[in-house]
Amino acid sequence: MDSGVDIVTASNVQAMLDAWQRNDFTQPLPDPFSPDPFSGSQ
Amino acid sequence: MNLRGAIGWLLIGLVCVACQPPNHQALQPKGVPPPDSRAITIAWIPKALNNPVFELGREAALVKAAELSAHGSIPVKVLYAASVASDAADQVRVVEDMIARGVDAIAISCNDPVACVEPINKAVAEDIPVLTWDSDSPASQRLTYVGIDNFAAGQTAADILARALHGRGRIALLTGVPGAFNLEERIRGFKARLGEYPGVQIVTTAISNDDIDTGIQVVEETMRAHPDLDGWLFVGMWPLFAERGSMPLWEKAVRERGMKVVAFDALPVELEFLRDGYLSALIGQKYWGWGADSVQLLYDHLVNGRTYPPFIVLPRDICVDRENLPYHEDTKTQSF
Repeated sequence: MDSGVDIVTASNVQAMLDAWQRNDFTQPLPDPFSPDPFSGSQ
Repeated sequence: MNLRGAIGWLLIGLVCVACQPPNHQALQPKGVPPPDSRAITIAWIPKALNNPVFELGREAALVKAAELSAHGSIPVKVLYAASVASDAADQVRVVEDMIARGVDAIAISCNDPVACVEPINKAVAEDIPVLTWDSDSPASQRLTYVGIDNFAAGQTAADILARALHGRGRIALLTGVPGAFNLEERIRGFKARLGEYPGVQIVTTAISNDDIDTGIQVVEETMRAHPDLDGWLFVGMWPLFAERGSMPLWEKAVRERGMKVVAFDALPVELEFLRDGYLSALIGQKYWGWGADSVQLLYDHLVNGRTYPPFIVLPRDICVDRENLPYHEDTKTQSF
């Protein structure tokens, strides 16, 4: 089920910042896990 | 009476000018009196006036009302009304005042699902349909709820935080006003999914009462009590509205130990925290839809008799050009 949320990570944060800058939230965000934002952290 | 009660609550109203005369025939089945100059008045009620997360929704409600007035058959007004801070009893009084004012419909984010039942049902008994957004009151006779699936969103938050922690760690939760349906559902979903990650343990839940300063205080107190904490779930974004440096222990733990933090909402101030490495992930909602969709749904119900399922997950937001918003000059504030 689509829970209706937008997931934002370091991998797509710029796209969400741009959406706010343009006031346009109509476009889907890029995949938040590609590249994996947690692959290098422990 | 406390200071909040003495101050009372604020009502911000706006009149959207109509292009066409009202359609009295369409209103009569809902029991709305049909005076010649009648417009549809929708009360849009957030949890509180002091929480910036509701601002975009307010803007959207006003824009949608202007759009419907310009292009529809009936003029639409939005009354923006709330208590100053999140308080269930104050919110009940706000709803009762909206009923007394004779609004045509109400859209509300409930501070408490139980406390909302009686005023919502009272409104419905007086032929005033009520829609909940953001935070539901499922036991009430509300028309529908629009927003995210908060339980599923909590599950998603658990998956992300566990992934960021690589399946191991001691974490804390930060919530707002205890009992708020949306927050409780997020926590319920989070805990349910966390059962799949036995290496991740919740050590405490801090309570902000939807207050920025309280949020900062309890986060820092938690960091002092649990200096080796590995992660946080912020069920809302309260302390992140404060300027950078307000939570030195929390910030130090992220910078020096790689503590992981997942938070709800995705407003610009949070995005900057994420971009700068202080947050691992954000769970964003459809802030524009809170306002625009709730007004549209109530309008369609009143004018066209549309009915809805009990639960509506909002799709992608619509486009908005703030520079061309038609209402800024007309906005006025009343306090009483």
